[in-house]
Amino acid sequence: MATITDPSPLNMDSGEVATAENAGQKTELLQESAGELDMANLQLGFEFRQHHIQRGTFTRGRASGATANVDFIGDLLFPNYGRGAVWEFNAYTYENAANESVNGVDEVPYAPIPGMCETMENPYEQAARVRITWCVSYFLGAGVLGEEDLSQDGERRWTNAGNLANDPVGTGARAQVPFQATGALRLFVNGVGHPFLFKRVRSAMSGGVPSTDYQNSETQSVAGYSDFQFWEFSAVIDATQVAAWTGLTKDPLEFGTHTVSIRCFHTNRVIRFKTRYIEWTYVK
Amino acid sequence: MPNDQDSFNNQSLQDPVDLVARMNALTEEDLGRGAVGHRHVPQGWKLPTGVHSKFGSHGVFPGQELYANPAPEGTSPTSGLPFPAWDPVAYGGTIMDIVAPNPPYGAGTGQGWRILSPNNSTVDAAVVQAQLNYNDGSVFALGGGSLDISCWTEATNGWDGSTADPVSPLAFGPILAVALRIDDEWYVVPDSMAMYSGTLWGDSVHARCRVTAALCNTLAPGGVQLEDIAMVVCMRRKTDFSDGSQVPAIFLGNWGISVDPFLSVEQ
Repeated sequence: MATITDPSPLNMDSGEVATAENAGQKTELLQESAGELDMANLQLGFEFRQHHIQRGTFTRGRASGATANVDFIGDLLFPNYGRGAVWEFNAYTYENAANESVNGVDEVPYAPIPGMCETMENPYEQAARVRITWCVSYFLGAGVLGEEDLSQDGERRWTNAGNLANDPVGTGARAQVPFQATGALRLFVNGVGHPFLFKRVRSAMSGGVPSTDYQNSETQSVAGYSDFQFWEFSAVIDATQVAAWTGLTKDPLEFGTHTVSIRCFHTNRVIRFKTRYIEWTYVK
Repeated sequence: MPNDQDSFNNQSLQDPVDLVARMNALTEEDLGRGAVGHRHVPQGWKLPTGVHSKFGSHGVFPGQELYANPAPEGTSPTSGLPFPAWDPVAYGGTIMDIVAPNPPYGAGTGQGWRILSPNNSTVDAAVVQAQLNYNDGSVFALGGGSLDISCWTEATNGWDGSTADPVSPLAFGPILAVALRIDDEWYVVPDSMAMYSGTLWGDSVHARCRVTAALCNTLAPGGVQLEDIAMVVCMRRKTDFSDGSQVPAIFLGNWGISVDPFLSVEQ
């Protein structure tokens, strides 16, 4: 502790009005309180050690997830692609690569999935990479792009019993439903979708049973297909990937706060998201 | 430090030399280690090339391509050995498809594992260069470093009730795996294999594994360098598949492979 010396031993008599200068001089009586702390104020021999620096004062990784069902209803979220819409989302088919068109992927809107959105905090001036891991499971509903002839394929909707009314793998015009494109799940960082990390979503193939119906097991289509899907991947985004990520203007490897999310576009009547999580970790 | 507006003495706010001397290894890595309430992640480590992942699609973006390559069998491509054959010594040849053109990259029909790649490209394939020696006393060789590998691809073999190609019988895969090229020879990591049978309709298939020097020595004892890491796929069928039956095959779309190197012990 430094020696305390009154720099201005001035008596302020009662009854007198003290000037601001006098009051300021008294306030600065202790140089330490005036900010003049130095190493002499530290205990002799004191050293800062690693355990004094709290490990983890910088956030390096976090995960979030959810298990509650959340329904994405195509008609409500993406009304431009609902029943009777002129513009059809047709970026992908599963029938034959030659039938694909390249448009649509970047033109359609995407809605973030609750429980799969995170804020990434990068404590490094320039991180080497960020690893983003996610797993999302979901149950597919039928397409909203219903045909006009309801007598042939019927309208797919949930019945009072909680079932979908028709088997979409039928013999009518809807027989080609397996090849009908209906949407995508896509990785977004800082609001920009990844050019390749998107997974196609199609319409339901089976009669389907909602998860709230405990009386019936899930029906399956003629092909023995279940409408329950999941997408899991662990993506390492390094400087090379950032450079190749078309449209990404904010570099997630730079110091600061960034966003990551899995977002969905689809023309199904409903997609029910179930167990899901997303996790990120920065590495120096 | 900026000048204060008040009369505080800003001299003492500068970092004195002996303050630094009192700090014990306060590097950026030390400050950033771990996270209160979060997972503790070891210090980072990079691959020599600085490239840790590769992403892509197939066909004309965002397309799909048909992989109809069956698993390798036998000590040679024409005789029998229980699948899977990842041992080139016993197998007598490469496990990868060596049938032209551009083997083993991209879609094809020849026997053997193939590396996912759009349009049979050798450049855009799902391959990450490692260039890690695993018997030379380096961190990786001594077991201090490991690689976490994650692969994913979209897959479709959807059955439409027809008997025409390219839709395949559902019980024959695909099998997705991680393959390592060690000293010019490819090896499929056995515990990375993931087989998906049944109907796949735009589903996601994935394979994960952890690669260490010990694993490399299991595949190629005493070898020199782990050169490349790739995502590979094959179908499961015998070469004498009945005529007239649909050939087992799988459409693959978007894909990604990521390699995350991390240090296993405090360095």
